Amino acid sequence: MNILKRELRAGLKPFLLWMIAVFTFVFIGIIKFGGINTGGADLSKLLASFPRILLAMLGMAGVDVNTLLGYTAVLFYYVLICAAIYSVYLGAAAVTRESVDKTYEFIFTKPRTRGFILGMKLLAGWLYLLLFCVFSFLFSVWSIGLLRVAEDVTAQVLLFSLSLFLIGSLFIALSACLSALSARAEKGALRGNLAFLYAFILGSVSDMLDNAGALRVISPLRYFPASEIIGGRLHGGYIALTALLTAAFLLIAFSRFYKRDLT
Amino acid sequence: MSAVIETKKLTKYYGKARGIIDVDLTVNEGEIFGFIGPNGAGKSTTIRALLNLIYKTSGEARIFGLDCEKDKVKILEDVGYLPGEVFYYDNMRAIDLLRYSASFYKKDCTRKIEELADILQLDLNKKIEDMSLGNKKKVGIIQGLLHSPRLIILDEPTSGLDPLMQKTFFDLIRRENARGATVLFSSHILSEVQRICDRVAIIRDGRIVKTQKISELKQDAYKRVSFTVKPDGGKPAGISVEGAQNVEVQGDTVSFIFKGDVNALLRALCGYPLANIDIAEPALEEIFMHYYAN
Repeated sequence: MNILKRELRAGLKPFLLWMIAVFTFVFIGIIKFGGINTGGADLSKLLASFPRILLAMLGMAGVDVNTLLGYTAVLFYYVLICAAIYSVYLGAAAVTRESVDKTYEFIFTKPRTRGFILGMKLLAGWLYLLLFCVFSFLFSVWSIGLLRVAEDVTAQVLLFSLSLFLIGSLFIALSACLSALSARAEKGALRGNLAFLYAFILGSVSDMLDNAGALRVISPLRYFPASEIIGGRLHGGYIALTALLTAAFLLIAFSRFYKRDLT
Repeated sequence: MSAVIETKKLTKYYGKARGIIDVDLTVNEGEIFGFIGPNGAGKSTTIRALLNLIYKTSGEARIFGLDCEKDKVKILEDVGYLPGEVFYYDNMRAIDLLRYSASFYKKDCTRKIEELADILQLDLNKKIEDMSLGNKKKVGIIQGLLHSPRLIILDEPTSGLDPLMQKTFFDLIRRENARGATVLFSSHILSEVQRICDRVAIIRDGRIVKTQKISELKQDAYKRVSFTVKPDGGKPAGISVEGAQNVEVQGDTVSFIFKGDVNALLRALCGYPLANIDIAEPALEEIFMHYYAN
């Protein structure tokens, strides 16, 4: 518990900064929807004139932003990007922070196994990810409430938040795994960020295709697309795939971390 | 006397680079054991392998009779470690770090922390990031000793400490030793090893060159001899006696390092019209250089 407490304390400041950013983004974004909705402008027609690649990169491909749900889906796509980047940071920090800060000779000469120490660090990361998702949900529901619309989208916002947690978990594990596999601690976060970039590009490519097919399997940012969440469901197969990949990456991370020289 | 630390042919390679090779080390219970060698000789590598921060390539490493890799947690409950360079969490005050450190052990360390801070004159309420190198080192010393470990491993412990504080530190280590703690003291400063250790192992290029009692090490070593001949005795050309090395002639004075039969040395010296002679106990540094000379 002592390690968990210290990790939570150490991670509080970055978490609060992320939360301020997400809150500001969600709040302003939702309030803007009020202007779009009442202004009479058909944003969909405007967006239809955009190249599909641009829409894919903006997370707007195949989404009707004139509806509250479609608009919220686009906002949540950006929150998902934030969650993925934050998760990469959490996973890499759990594995490499002590080496980068050169404090490893302190913590790893205490009577605890490496696995226990890494486990506590990752648990702290997961708790912050969970809080990230809970607060994103609460900010969104509260902001949407300010619009005073009759439509109840709480269930879908909950599914969006759940998808944040699932994808965030995958990125924590992937980043921890890549960091543990890196010979040099400083490169851990870099590899995690490259993995995110790869996922973003693949996701955009996947959106450009009418039928992504197998491409979706290797595009984690598209495991839970807006169209499915708006329809009220998260794909069970992709939940299982996410859980499986998360477990596999964690297994590699723990196994590699246990065997590596700490320098 | 049982061995607290025991390594047999302990070897560590970093890829193809040499770390340590076939290190055999035995540190007995209750002794202060010096481990000397220059930077890069393999002292820290040996210590890190003992603490399981790095994995050995081959050989055996045991502490308290337990395997350093398999029984790491059990071993570390009774080990205090002070690394050569101390790095701690910057946002913490010294007292927060020490409480955090103490939380890993199944004992109340509050009194020991206060006592050690008092001896070392350390302000525990100061943030670590605002501390000088010397004060950070003091935090390191306290965190290494606060749980009254059975084995204390010190890697270059005095760097950053002023001479007065070094004396306090040595007194502290002697006190811990008197309490029953075994100490492994790694250093490249020979005078401090000479000051506190019972036995010493000399490491060179990753291999243990010699393990000896400090007293034996000095006896077994070379003598530094210097003599001056009388002005009317002519210019000396040097000295010819078995065991003389590094002979230097400067005017009337001949200096050399000698290891061999002292009777033969005295007979050879009797052949000169001596004005002065100095046969000195070599400094540990000189003994040390002997082991490092190719």
